[in-house]
Parts: sequence; structure tokens; C-alpha cells
Amino acid sequence: MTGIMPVLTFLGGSLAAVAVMVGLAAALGFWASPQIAGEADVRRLGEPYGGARHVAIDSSGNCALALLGDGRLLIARAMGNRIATRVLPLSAVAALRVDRPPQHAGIAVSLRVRDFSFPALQLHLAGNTVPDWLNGLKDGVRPS
Amino acid sequence: MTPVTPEWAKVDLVTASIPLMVLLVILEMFLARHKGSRSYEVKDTAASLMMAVGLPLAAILTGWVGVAAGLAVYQHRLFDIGWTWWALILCFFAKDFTYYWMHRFCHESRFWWASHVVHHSSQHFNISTAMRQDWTFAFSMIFVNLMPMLFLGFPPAMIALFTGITGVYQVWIHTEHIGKLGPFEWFMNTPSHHRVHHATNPRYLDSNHGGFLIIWDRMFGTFVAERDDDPARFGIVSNLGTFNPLRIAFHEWVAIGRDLAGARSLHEVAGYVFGPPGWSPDGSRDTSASLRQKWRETSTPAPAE
Repeated sequence: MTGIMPVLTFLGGSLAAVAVMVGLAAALGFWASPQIAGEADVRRLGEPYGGARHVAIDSSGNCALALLGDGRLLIARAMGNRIATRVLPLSAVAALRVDRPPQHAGIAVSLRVRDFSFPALQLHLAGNTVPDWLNGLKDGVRPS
Repeated sequence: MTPVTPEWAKVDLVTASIPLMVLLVILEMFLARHKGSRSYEVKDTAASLMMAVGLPLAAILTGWVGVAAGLAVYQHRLFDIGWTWWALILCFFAKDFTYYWMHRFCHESRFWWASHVVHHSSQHFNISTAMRQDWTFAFSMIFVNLMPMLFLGFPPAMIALFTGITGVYQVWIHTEHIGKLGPFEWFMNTPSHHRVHHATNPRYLDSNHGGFLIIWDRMFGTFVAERDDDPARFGIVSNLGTFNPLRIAFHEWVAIGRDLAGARSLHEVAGYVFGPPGWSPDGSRDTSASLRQKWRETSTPAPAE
């Protein structure tokens, strides 16, 4: 018991210090703003890979998905003040769901890739019609 | 016989410096706010600091491996080096030299990078980034850099002292708010040199591995000076899409596991584990060397600084 107490005290103190520093960062206004402002942003990200044929952007600007000219996918997520991206073959997609929730307007897209450093993307798309290319993509994914 | 450790050398420098580190983070946040800089971001800061909270727990759970290995080597030491002034000077340089090489391996071989990538995974560069440390240092056996010194006979407590000094020294150099420091840039590791080290710009990749001193990079060809016309872009080549500390801590190990599951030969196993980060059998992924090569092919030569 005496051996574990200093560790718990140290841990508690550390968590309290973290809370103070993170709270201060929040109070000072260090909140990130969404970085994906529009289709042009995503197309620019796709330029080195032959350009984006089709683009889908989350309505809050948090993440985006694009089908590239060479058949690969570009996924993008606003992280902090920047955008983190991955360019992947379709075989790297573990799951893709496209739903039209009855209680909400718009389309919900969930895409999970086989990359532990890039958790599933959740996109909410405006409109009520699922784009053909997204349906086509869904058909091409082999779930794991 | 193990030499007696003087009282003044028994202080745990890293633990004793925690209040100072917290103060530096707070001061830097106010400075960033004052300058209108976006060098901090709430979720990123929280992730970095949670990695720091997990570090002592990882040390308690796994650190004994390094301690046991170190003491075993020390049993077979060549010399009995005591706490003399010349031993302290020699130990400082030897520790900084071995730190340079270990740190360099951490960038040039994926097995060690899998641990060290954690420290580079923030897209920001501030004092809290200094605290974003890996939890798998014992698994990747980063402690092996201390073994030659223990074998020579430097007292373990003396090596621990200089390990602490190097660690604490490097906290303040994680900042965008301090420019170049005149003649200190020639031999010390400074904020400017360390910005280069944390940058993903092709010209800066895998450079400036020094701990306290930058002389080792100058001697062994890994020194790159910061340039005003190429501001550092911080992070890693494939930036993380998460602030989850568990994903930050283990993502590269998981990636190694996935690659090994698909490996078709011993050559591929060795390449995936010990090759440079980004190695692939068909060369389809980017390594630091291939990124630099592509950059050289597409950029106009600029005069060296």
C-alpha cells in the first residue's frame, strides 16, 4: 500500500497539472478552426496524385474524401491547425457505410481504413441523393 | 566496488524539473497569445501532456529491463571510474556522443522509430511537444546506448545524472519563439537547430540529432542550418489523424505488425522492421532519402546558408 501511494499521488498531481495547462490553452483561445473550407482545398490536396475526380466534404469541414484520377482514395481530416491526409488504394478500406438517416437531412458516410493512426472518418454530406461515385465506391470495398 | 555517489548527484533532475516545465508551458502560452501565434492547440496540447503522464507508468512497468541489463553489464566493467572532475567531463561528452548515435538510429531504423515517432507526431512545436514522449522505450531497447559507457566503468548514477541533464536541457529548445543565438549555434543544440530536427521539409529530414551539443552532427554530416526561406513544417511525413494517446503510442508498432503479416521473405521481414521508416519491398512508399531525392529533382538549387 505504501509503495503504490506515492505513484498515485504523482499521477494525481500530474493529471491536475495537465488539467491546468489544457484549461489555460482553452481559456487563451487556442481552439482550432476547421481547415477544409471547400472543394478547392481537397482538389489542391489531390493535385500531386493526378487530381481528384470526385470530392465529398463533411458539412462542418472536419474531414473529406476524394476519388483520385488514378483510382486511389484521398482521405483528409482537419487536425489542429492543419490537415492530415492519406492516399490509399481501395483495398485499404476496411468498411464504408453510406446511410440516409430518416430523422436528419443529408447523408451520413462512415469510412474506416486499415491504418491505426487514422481513425474512421464520419462525414455528414448535404443533400439527399447519394452520389453515384460514392455508391460505386461502396460496391468496390471488401469489408474486413 | 561501486563508487559512492555524492549527495549532490542523487537528485532526480527530471522529476525535480517538472514544476519548471509546467511554468515554461504556461509562459509560452501567454507569449503565443500575445504574439497572435497558433503554436498551441488545445487537443494537441492535451495529447502531448497525456503522453507525459503515461511516461512514468511505462517506466515503472518496463524500465526495470534497462536497469537490469545495465547493472549486468556494469558487473563486467573494464575500469572502476570514480566521481572525479575528469570523469564528469568525460562522461558528459561520452553521454552526448552516445545520445547522438542512438537518436540517429531512432530516425534511420524503423524499429527504434516506432518508439521515437511519438515525440515527432505533433504538428506543433512548443514546450508541450517536448513532453510528448514514447511509452515503448524499453521494448525498443533504447537503453543500449548506455551500455558502452557502463562497460567502460562509468558509475550508473553518473550516467543517470547526465541522462537527466540532457533530457531537461532539451525541454526549452522546443519553441518557435526563440531565434538564432549567435555563437551558441556553433556548438550547442538550440531552438533553431531543433526546429530543423522536427521539420518535415525534405531538406531538413533526418538532421540535427544532437542532445546537448550540435558538434556531433557537424562532425558526422547530419547538420542542417535553419533557413529563413524554408520555414519548418512540423510533424511527420504521414501526419496522424488522431489525438488518442493510445493510437499515438502504438500506431507504428501496429503498422509494423500489419506489414509483417504480409511479408513474403526474411529480407522483407528485416526491411520492414529494421529498414528506414517508409521502406517497402517495391519502393512504393517514401523514405527520407526518396523524399529528399524527389525534392532535389524538382527544386531549383539555392545557395547554401
